Amino acid sequence: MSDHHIDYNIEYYSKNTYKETATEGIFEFNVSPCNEEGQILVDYKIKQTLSDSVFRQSNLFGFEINRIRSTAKFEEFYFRYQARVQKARIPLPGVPAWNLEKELEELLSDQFFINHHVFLCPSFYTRLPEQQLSLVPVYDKKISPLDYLKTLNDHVHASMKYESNATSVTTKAGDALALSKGVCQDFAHVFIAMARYNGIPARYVSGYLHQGINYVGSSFMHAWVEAYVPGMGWIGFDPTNNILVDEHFIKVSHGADYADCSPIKGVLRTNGDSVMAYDVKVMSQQSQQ
Amino acid sequence: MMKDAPLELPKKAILDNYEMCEGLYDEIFDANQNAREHYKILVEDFGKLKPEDYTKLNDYAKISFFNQGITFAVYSESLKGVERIFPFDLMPRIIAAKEWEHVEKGLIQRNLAINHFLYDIYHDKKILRDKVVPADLVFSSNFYVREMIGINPPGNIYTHICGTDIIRHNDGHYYVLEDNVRCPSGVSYVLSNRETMKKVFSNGFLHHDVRSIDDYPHQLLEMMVSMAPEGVDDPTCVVMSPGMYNSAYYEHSFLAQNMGIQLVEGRDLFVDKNFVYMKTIHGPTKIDVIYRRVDDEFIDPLCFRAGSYLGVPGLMSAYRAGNVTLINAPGTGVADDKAVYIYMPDIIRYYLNEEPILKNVRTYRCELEEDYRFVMENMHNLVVKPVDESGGYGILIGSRASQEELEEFRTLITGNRRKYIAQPIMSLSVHGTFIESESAFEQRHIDLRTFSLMSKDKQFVLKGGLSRVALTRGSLVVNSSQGGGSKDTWVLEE
Repeated sequence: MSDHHIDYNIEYYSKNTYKETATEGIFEFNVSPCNEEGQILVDYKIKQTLSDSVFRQSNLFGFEINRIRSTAKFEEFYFRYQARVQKARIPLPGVPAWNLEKELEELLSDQFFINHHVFLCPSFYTRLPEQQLSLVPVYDKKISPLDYLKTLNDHVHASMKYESNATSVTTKAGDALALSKGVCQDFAHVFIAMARYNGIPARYVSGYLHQGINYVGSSFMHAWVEAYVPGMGWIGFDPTNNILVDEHFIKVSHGADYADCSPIKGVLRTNGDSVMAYDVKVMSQQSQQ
Repeated sequence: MMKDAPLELPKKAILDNYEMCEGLYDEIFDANQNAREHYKILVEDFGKLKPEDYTKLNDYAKISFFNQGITFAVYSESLKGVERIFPFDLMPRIIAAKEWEHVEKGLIQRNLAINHFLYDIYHDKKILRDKVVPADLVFSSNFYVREMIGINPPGNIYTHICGTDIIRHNDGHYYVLEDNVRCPSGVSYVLSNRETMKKVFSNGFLHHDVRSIDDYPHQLLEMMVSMAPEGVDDPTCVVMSPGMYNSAYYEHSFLAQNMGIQLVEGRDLFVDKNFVYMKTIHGPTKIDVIYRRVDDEFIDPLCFRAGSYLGVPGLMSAYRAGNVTLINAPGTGVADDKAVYIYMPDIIRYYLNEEPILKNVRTYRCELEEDYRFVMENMHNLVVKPVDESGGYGILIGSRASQEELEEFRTLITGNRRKYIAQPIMSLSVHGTFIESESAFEQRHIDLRTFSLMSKDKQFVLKGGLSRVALTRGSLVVNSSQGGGSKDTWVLEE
């Protein structure tokens, strides 16, 4: 572990078991850390028991997807993805790059809306029902969007309680908001819905969170948000923990909402039920020594 | 004057008691009850027939349809899955050469503009930046497909097949009612109607120079072959159907058969390493061009609606990689969103720098405050339509609606203003149609669904199309799903 970067070992593992033999299956895994400023995917390996090869391709937003397709009938399969990632320590965003007037000019322009429409228009998970719009803290445009987003991070964190079983992967922002409960996915959706309603582009990010130097053990994938600040670009917010994104966040992909980032998607032909077990490990170099 | 002396009009013969309503545009007769120039021979031919003869011919026609198995399924609660014979009327609708030339030019112009529009909204979005079409209208369309952003389909063609609906209003002008650029259906009925007419009323073709429509399947296949992904010389093309429970299944099988290509369903195909294959007893065969009659949201459960068994998992990524051509391209539905329709004249001017040849119907966008208020107050004089439906589902004709229905629509519109548009009630032209229960010809409203094909350097418009007839007296709803019938449509040579 150096002063300038941290090395991570990451493992994603999932195992699907089917009560009845499945005849055909195709699965996409969106679990591979991306390369971006301050983050390098050093190497990775995949072990899986479904297909004779793994097909890699870019999705709509340019992130690598691993696709496997069954070549014979199957009752179970597993997929293990292991990666080494190098993460630079980057300073947290302090003050806005532009003055307020310039920020607002860009934020309110028609061109800006057209350029960022994918992250400004409501999406499946982030559309708030009419009656909930009054719950959105209004951006009064007297402070920088950056400062508003920080208060939004506080607000979402304070108004929602973290609870594992209150929601599911199909829960939308409006439902989570009504319950005032949820997991990281719900916190992210609520944040996104509120930022977009105020005209600030926001996108869903999925990835891995290193939860502490000596922390080892089972975990889940994490979800947070990136919002666009004119002059600065995309800034990461984690409303679940009420912090700004730092070198402990290892990004996999972003999209309009969870639907673009779900770690596993699949279509298969089988009659019976299935059981899925899944496990994530994030270890920093130091924690392994 | 004419009305006082019916006996001096032997040319009306079988049409003797043909009643003409004032204020309607009759395709056969002008306001003085004289047959229009291009109908004179037909009126004479029909004049030689006695009503009994006509009934007999009509029966032959029905048998012909039964034998061809030409049916469609109706989607409604009480009639779930019922197969019906498409009602057919023996008296053809005739379009004069000059008039058709005008229509054809107008259709080509419109389709070219739509194709430019689709390329633009999925690339630079110039028309939105120039505020000719509101950006939020496009992005909020249910048919806007993000997966198409930045994708270049072969030849930059999106709308290979357009099924534009046109009507003639009582001012005598043609208006476009809808641009159907997703999966327009009905062409098989056009071809079958002609087959039947040739059998039952062959004399008509001896006396008229009717332009041929027989080469449509050939033109369709030629277009598909020309749209193959780059580097594929001898492409394998298929028709992909949602299956036998779809209302247009007959048409899917008809087209595949007439083009001599395979009819497949989603489960017959699979995607491996971004190429599409068809399962055959000889092993997988690579597929290059798919004429898919499956709606966007069902074509790929990995990309769009999860849990759909109609599609092929991975199809969209194979498409995005340029390894297979989909006909039509995904995401074309933005252009036939009925709220985007409003801007079609501007879209034509913007891309082609020409004045629109075919007229647009004045349309009110309920999302706009002023239009919304107008619609709320004048609904009884308007047609209200959802922007994203087809087949005549979910529309309200204000003048025929009860107070409860009007109130129900006011609530619907207020709850989702983006979803509804309204138009003045257009007076569709009428055409003499044989009404069995009366054993006589009566005026019935008609429209025309046209069929155009577009490839890189070629525009093809089927001569004529499907003239749809509202069989109920006074009804303006011509959709087959709503109990409409059809007529053979003759475009005459110069």
